[in-house]
Amino acid sequence: MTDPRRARVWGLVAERAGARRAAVSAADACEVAAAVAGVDGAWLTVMSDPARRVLVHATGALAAELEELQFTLGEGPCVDAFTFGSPMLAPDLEAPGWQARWPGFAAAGVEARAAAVFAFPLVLGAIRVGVLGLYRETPGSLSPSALADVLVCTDVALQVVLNSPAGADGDGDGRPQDGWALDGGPDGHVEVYQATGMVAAQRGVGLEEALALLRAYAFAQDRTLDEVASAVVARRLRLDPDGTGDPAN
Amino acid sequence: MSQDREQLLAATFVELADTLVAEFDVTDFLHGLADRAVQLLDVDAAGLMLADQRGSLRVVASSTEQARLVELFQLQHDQGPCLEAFQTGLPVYEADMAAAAQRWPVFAPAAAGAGFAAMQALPMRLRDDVIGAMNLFMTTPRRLDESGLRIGQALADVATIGLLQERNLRHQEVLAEQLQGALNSRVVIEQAKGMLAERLGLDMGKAFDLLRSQARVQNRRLAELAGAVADGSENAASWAAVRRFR
Repeated sequence: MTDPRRARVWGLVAERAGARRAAVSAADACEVAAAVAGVDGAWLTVMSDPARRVLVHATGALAAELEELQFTLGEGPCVDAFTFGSPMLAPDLEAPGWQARWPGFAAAGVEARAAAVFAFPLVLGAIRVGVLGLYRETPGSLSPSALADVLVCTDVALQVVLNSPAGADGDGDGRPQDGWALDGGPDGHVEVYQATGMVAAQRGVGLEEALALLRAYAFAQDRTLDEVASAVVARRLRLDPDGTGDPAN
Repeated sequence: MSQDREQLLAATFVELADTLVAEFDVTDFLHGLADRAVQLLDVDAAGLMLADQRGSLRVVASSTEQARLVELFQLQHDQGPCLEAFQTGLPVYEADMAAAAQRWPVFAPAAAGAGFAAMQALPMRLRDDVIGAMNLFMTTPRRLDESGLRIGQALADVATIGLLQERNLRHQEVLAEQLQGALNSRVVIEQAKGMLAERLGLDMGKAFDLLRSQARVQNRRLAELAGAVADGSENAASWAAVRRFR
């Protein structure tokens, strides 16, 4: 069941992508996030660890600068959000708490005219792929509704990044075929997470690759990711190295 | 109140206070709360669901890891007493699951089929917001007495406070950060369970118990240990505790 907020935000994203006649991209996630949050800019960084990252999109020069500053200084909301796997919401960089936590970044950010910075990790459990950052030139919190909309944008961004290699995006609209985007995201799909761990252990690969294997198998078999995950957890299905399974179900 | 319950209640609050003051492990805290709810209120299962701040309810902790029961808890993201308690901010009670199909066409039969006769859901409230709900399952058609309801609501409220370590102007941000962190930690734990289940030939319930047991042995946060299992920096096969779970 698609909830209205998810449908609305995905609608905004799809509209933007449609206008460019292209697949949903990092730019769409950033621009919609900035719009729904009512902030001045956004950026998306793909990371495998804090030291290795690629800035995939920034909506403007200040966004790019804030991203760069954090990695030069080795501190800041994006670094923390990625490290701890939870959002870092700094509605006022001049507040003593943030100045103490990021002495270099808070001062530099204020000087660059960013008063508020909000960073959201792009994570699925232990799968960590990057960060979505937002900034505003005036201080203030995100309203609960804005926060909720931005969280949907982080789901969009996560899908974009996970889809980037040869992901299971058959019709090129940037949305995965396994229905995650519309089906309330990966909420409540505990078996998908468990199956990811099982496949990672079975095949001796990392979790991100294990998830990609599951999704590719589901796509090739025209089954939902949930169905495939259920079968794996129930040990009715094992993904073989050549991508086929043991359909003993 | 019986003396036993009184002592258990006192012990629970001392324990909770310790948890809140010392280094805080959100996941362990919430699981502990679910366990305590079962003991204190003499119910058969308890589950805690939190709003993911995008509009859905998700399970973060339960007193049992039995897959079919966790699935039952999860059904409630769509309908059920927990969702109602969350939406209304009021306690919700069902005395007879077997007869409640009109109220909750998918959930009620599933709950009855799992052996639960009655359910009590209590909202997790923070000032004017409701951030989730705690649900209590009973295999016999019982109802909590007034004292039980007050204790249950207090536990739910403590769960909410536990998620918020600073009671100041930043509470909105801290709550959001903690909630998203707790939700993501749950995913890490599920991924680690899958890895342990596969590597050691365990079912998911035992895999979780092993993880929790080992976290205690190492005096380490559950989610952090799970993360270490997930990224390969912990080799579960070397844990002494494995012997007990095979």
